Amino acid sequence: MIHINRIRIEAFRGIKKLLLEPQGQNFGICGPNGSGKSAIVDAIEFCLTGQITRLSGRGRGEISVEQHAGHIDFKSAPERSKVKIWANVPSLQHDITLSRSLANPSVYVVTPDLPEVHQIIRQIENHPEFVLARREVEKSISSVPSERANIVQTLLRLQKIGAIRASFNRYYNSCQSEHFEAKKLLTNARNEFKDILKISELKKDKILTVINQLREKLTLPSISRITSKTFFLAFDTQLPRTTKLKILDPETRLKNLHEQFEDFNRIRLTLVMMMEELLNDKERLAGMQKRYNPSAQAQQPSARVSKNTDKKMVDSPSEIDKEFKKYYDEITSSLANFRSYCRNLQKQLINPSNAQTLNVSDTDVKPLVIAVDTFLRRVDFSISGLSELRDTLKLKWMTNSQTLATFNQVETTHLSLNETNYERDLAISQLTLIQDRFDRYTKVMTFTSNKGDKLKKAEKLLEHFDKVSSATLESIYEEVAADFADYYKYLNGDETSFEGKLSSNGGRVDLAVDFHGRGKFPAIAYHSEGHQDSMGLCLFLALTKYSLKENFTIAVIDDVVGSVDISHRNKLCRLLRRKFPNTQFILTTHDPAWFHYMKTEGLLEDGYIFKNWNVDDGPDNHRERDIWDAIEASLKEDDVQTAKTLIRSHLAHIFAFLSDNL
Amino acid sequence: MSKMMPKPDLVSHILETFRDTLLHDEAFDSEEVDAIDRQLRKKYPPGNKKLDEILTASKKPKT
Repeated sequence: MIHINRIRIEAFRGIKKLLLEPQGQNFGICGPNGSGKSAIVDAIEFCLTGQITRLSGRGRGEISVEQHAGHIDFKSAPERSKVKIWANVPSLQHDITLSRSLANPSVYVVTPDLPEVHQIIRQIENHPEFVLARREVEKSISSVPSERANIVQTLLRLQKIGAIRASFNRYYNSCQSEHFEAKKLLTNARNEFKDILKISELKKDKILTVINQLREKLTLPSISRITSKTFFLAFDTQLPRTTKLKILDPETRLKNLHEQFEDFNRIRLTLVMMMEELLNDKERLAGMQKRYNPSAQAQQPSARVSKNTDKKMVDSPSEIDKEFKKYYDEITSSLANFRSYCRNLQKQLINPSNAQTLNVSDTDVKPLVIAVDTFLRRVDFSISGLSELRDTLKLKWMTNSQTLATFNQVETTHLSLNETNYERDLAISQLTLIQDRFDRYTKVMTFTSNKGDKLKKAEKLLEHFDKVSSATLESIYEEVAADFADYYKYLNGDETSFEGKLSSNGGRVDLAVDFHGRGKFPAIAYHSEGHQDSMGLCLFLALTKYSLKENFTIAVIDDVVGSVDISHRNKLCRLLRRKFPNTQFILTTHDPAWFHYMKTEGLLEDGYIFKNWNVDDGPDNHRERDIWDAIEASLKEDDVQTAKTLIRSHLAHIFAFLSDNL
Repeated sequence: MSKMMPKPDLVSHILETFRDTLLHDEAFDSEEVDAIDRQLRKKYPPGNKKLDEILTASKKPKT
C-alpha cells in the first residue's frame, strides 16, 4: 500500500480548498466538533477508494457520494470537487499521484500509468478498512455476536463465507417450515383415515379387520397385507386400478333395472308382432322365402301367391327386391338389437337381488339369445322357423310370473325387504370412502417423507459448512486473538494475565476476554467503556494486521483515541509507534491536549489545528505551532478562555508524561 | 464496507474442504456435491429455489 506525502482537497465536503503535507509521516488534525476534521478523512478515503463509508451503509439510502460529497456551493459542478494525493509506494519504491473527481467517483487518474501501480490502487480499493471511525471500534466490541461476525469477516475479506452460511441457513429454515406444515397435513390425514375406519389407533390388524369385514359383505376374499397400491374393492387388491367402480344407490339401481326391463320387453313384443304379421301375410312370406330360402318355398308351394309374386317381380323386379330387402333389414336389425338387450339383462340378472326383484333368472333369458342367434345365423323364413322364434319370444316365464304391471309393486316390496342388497351397497360405499382417505394418507406420507429427507440434507449442509468454516476461521482467530491480547496488555499493564478468545459459532463470532484472572467473559460484561474502546482498537489493529500483513502501511483513525483516558495515552502512543513502525497513522482528535501529547510522545510528526469552520471558507486552519506560541496567539486575540484551557491541559499532560517516565 | 472483495485463498480453502466433507457424507451423491460446489463458486450464493432444484432432482438420500 502507500504512505501519503501530500493531499490537495478542492470543493469537497466542508472544505473549499486545502493542502496538507504529511510527508509520509504520522500526521494529526485537531479541532472542535464540526471544524472539518472528518472531511479530511472522507477526502482521503474518497481519493483512495472512490467511496465514503460514512455516506453509505444502513440508514443512508437517500445519501450518495455523487450527490452529497461535494461542497454545498459546488453541487452543480461535481467536476470541481476533487481530491489529489501524492504518495509513495514502499513495495515499489515509487512516488505516485492519484486523483479523483466527483464527476465520476469510480474513475481515478494515476501517474505513473503502470500495471503494478494500478494493482496497488485496486488493493487499496478492496481494503477500505484502513479508515477507522470510533463507531466501528464500539461496534466490534459491543455488537451482538452475529453482527460482530459480519465486522470480523468483512475485515478478513470473508464476507462470502458469511453469505454462503446465510444462504444455507435460509434454506434450512425454509425446509424446516415446509416439513412442519407437511407434518400437520399428515396428522390430519391420519386422523381422517382413523375416523373413517372407526378405530382408535392405526394398527395393521385393526385396519385389516375393518376392511375384511366390508369385503366379506361383497363376497371378496380377505386380505392380509396393505401397501400404498392396495385397492380395497378389487378381487385381487394388488392389481392396477383400471376403472372406477360406479356405485349406485338402491333406488337408482332399481330404476335403471326397471327401464332396462321395459326396453327389453317393448322390443320383444314388437318382434312377436312382426313374426305374427309375417306368418299371416302369405304373399310377403312367400316372397321372403323365395328370395332368402328358396328350399323352404319349394316345400310349401302356393300357385296363386307364386303367380302374383312372380308377376310383381316381372312387373317391377327392382321395386319388389327393395321392399323385401327393407323388410329383411328391419327384422334382422330388430333381432340384433333385441339380442344386445337380452345380453344386458342377463348381466343384470347375475346379481341375485336383481333376479329376485324381477323373478327372472339369467338362465330364463338364455334361450332367447340362442333362438335369436340361430335365426340370424340361418335367416330361416320357413313357417316352422318363424313360429318357433315367435313362441320363444312370447316367453312362457313372462306369462307365468310377474308382468310389468306388477313390477312396481315388487320393486317397492323388494326395497324394504332386501337387506342384503342394501348392505352390499353400503359396504361398497364405505370401502370407497376408506380407499379415498387411505390414498390421501399414503400420498401425504410420501410428501412428508420427502420434506423430511430434504430437511435432513439442508441440516447437513449447514452443519458441515459451519464445521468446516469454523475450523478454518478458528485457526485465524487464534492468531488474531494473540495479537489482540498482546496489544491490549501493552495498553493496560495491570492486566498481565489478559487473554482474548474469538470463537466461531455458526453465524456468530463470540469474543470472550479475561477479567483479572477470574475467568473469560463477554467483553462488555465487566470491563469499563474506556477499556472496551481500547479493546475495539486493539481488535481492529490485530484484524487489519492479519488481513493486510506487510501492506498495512496506512491507517486513518478518526477521533478514536479521544476515548482513551489520560493514564493510557502514552502507552497507546508507544503501541502505535513500536508495534506498527511501517504504518503511517493519520489521526484526528477534538482534544488539543491529547493532540499535543501525541506530539510530545513522538507519535505525530506534524499536524494541523482547525480552530473554527464556516461554510464559505471551510476550516480556519493553521499549521501546528509550539504550545506557548498558540497560547500567546490566543492572548493576543484576547481569547483568554482558550489560552487558559491550553495551559491547564498542557501542564496536565506534562506532569502525566513526567510521572509516566519516572 | 459492501465494496470489499473476498480473500480468495481462504474462501477457496473453505469451499474445497466443504466439498470433500460433502463427498464423504453418503446423504449426498457426487452430482449434488458438484452442483452445490459450482453454485458456491459463483458471485452470489444459491437461493432456496436453486438448492431445491439441486437436492430434490437427485436420488433419494442413502441414509
